[in-house]
Amino acid sequence: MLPVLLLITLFMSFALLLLRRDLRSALLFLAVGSITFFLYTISVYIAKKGGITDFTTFVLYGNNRVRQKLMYQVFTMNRLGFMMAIGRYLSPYFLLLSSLNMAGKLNKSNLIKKGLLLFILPLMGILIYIPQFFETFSSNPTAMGIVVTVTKIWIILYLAMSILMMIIELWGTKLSFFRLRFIMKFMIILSLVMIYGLFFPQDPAQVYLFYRNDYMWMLGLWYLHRGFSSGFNYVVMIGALLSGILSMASLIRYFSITFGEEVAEVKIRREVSSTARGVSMFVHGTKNDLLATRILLDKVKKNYPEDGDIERLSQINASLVTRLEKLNKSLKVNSIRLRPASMMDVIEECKKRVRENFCNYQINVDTEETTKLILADTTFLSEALYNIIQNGIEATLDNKRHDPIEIQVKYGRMWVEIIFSDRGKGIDRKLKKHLWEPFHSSKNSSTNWGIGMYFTRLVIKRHLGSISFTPRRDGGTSFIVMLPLAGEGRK
Amino acid sequence: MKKAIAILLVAVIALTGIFAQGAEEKATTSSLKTLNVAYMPNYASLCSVMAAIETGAFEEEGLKVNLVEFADGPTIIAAMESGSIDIGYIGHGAHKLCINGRASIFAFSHLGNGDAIVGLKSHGVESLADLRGKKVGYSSGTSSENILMLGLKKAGLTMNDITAYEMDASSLTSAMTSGSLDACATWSPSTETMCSQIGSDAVVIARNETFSDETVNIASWIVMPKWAEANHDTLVKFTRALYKGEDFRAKEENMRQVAEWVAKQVAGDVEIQYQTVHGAKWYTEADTINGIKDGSIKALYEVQKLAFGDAVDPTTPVENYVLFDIMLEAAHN
Repeated sequence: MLPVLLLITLFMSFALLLLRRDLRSALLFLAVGSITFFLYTISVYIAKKGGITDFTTFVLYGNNRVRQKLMYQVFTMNRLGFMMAIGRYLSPYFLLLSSLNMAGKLNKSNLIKKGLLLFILPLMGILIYIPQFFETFSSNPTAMGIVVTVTKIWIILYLAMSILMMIIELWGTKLSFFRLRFIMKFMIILSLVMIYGLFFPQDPAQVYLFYRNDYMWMLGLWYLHRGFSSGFNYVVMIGALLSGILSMASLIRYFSITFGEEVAEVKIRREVSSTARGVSMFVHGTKNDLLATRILLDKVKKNYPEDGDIERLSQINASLVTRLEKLNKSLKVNSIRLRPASMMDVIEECKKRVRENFCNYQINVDTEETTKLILADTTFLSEALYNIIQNGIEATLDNKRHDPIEIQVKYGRMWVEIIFSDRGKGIDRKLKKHLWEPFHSSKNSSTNWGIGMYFTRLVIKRHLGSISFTPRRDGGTSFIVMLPLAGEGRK
Repeated sequence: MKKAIAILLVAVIALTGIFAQGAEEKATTSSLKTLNVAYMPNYASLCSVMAAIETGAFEEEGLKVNLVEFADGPTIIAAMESGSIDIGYIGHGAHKLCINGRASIFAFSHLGNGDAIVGLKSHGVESLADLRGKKVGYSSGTSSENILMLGLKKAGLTMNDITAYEMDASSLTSAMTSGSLDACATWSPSTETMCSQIGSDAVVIARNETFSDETVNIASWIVMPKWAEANHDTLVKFTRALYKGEDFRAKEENMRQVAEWVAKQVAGDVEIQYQTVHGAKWYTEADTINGIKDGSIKALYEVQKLAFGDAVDPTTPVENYVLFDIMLEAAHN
């Protein structure tokens, strides 16, 4: 059972690596891989030595036939012991690197420095446990005792640091969006540490020194430990099984979210690339005609200055030109200039546009006093956020209500979370799937081309942020925008 | 996802319940005292204890035996030391641990002839002398190592004259079958399994009887010294039931039946188990009691002790690690 769970977890981590191709996925894959390898060597050893209950057989092998297969695998004791040592010393190393990376303490720029520094102890462990080398000083029980104890201590320290890093990061993550996501990552690391922690006390030298008189008693067989006998054996094995389930479930969840985001991104990108060129040609052609029409209208206007129809025609022409320019810009947000800016300044700009277009529709802003800044192109960002507010107001009015739009601004350690909440009817299931795609709209309006939310998402992505939405408890929708803070905590 | 996790959790809890219920049933359906007994998956280890279980001898003594399989004697002693096993069976090699005070022998099992050195003809191994320069597998600390040492000594060789590969018993079987080794030292029923799988290419170049002038291949039942002190009566009852099992399996007409019970327990082939029924001198209760009284069993343990050479202290009295009083007290007459 446990190996099956770990193999699924390994497969998921490999799929994640293929999907993301980043340092985090690589480290996670190596951590899961090394633990799976370690557990494999332990399982082979236990299969060969015997002495386990039916329940332990079920947890470790699923059934006795699998155990028999592992039992008859050809290994010399030296090779099996050394393989176990490799798995035993690489697992805490990769677990710690994964944890540091998830906690934002390890990235590509400091990987070599920190990675090499932390690799010293595992490398020493692997070298010392080369059977031929270990046997040279195993004749001195004191020296061997020291090596065995020191090894255990650094492994425990690495595991403790892995957990501690994650707890500190979780503690410092105040924003609910990131907190929920981080809990998932925390669960992956925690469950992997638990699985590894149950078996790491088995010293690999025991495999090749077991029969050399005193070593049998000095190093002991961990899985035959007194504590594992009788009832406690069930507790330990169930713990191992639950940890396996937890790590597999967490990684599957992590993968499915990442996969969903990637698929949505690819879908939108494809849709945009297939339509952008056509839209661009259409916009240029139409805009030229409209500009020519404007010149003609200006001439006609001079001849008939009192004619109201000509004035209305001019206004329609001007509006069409503006909308076409906006459409063109929406599909080409390539150059954004990020500068430190106040989030409140951006929101004030949004409010100003609301006042101009919605006759002072009420906007309630809940925020805290802070000096924290974001990195933003305020023109693009305020336009993007205004789109959310505009949609919120229109949805609320469509719902025959006049509730204010609520804006909550929460500052975390590295991120700011802005929540826009309306009292509209909510987003129907059909639209949810296509909300971010261009030229999709639920509004029955000749002036709406369904480009607003696509533009908003694109601008937020260009600001290295994210946007999501969720229904409100008492009706309506909340849009959650996450943007990175400038300066401290974000290099 | 939540549903999947919930289903998995329910499955785990249900499984735990099933196992726990099984354990509870065992405890509540009878007032028998349960003993965890370690064995090795071969006829020699299991024949008497399986006969005693199947004929109800243990139940008559108020005992319930929970059998736990191990690969070799030293591992059984390690498990007994950890407290997860009460009573265990060991072959010849692990006796040196008893002489060194790690465990006490409370019952004599048999004189074996199941250990062997097997060579592959196609690899040029047909005699002990052919072992020179060859790849030879063995399990250190066990009877396998002992017979290899004796074989090398008889051929005028040492460990330096061969390429030795330290392996467990199951690896030896696989490695010989695949031809990765030229020869190996192993014990029953691996010997029979190998010969059966390899066919005429496998040749037994030495058995215990080859070295009968130098050592004896004794198998015994053991306990931890402290456990023996605290559970004297239980140990006597266990030995008494074991005697009944030994007497049952010693009768020619019961041998096939016992081989079937053993094969069932080890999930192995009946014929392979049955091939080994004449591979040892099986002791009955009467043989053991007579042997103790006339001093022949003590003499066997003395010979065995001396054969271990430097690995043990030859001055250790046999009475220090063999509990003859238990064997005598358990006698029916």
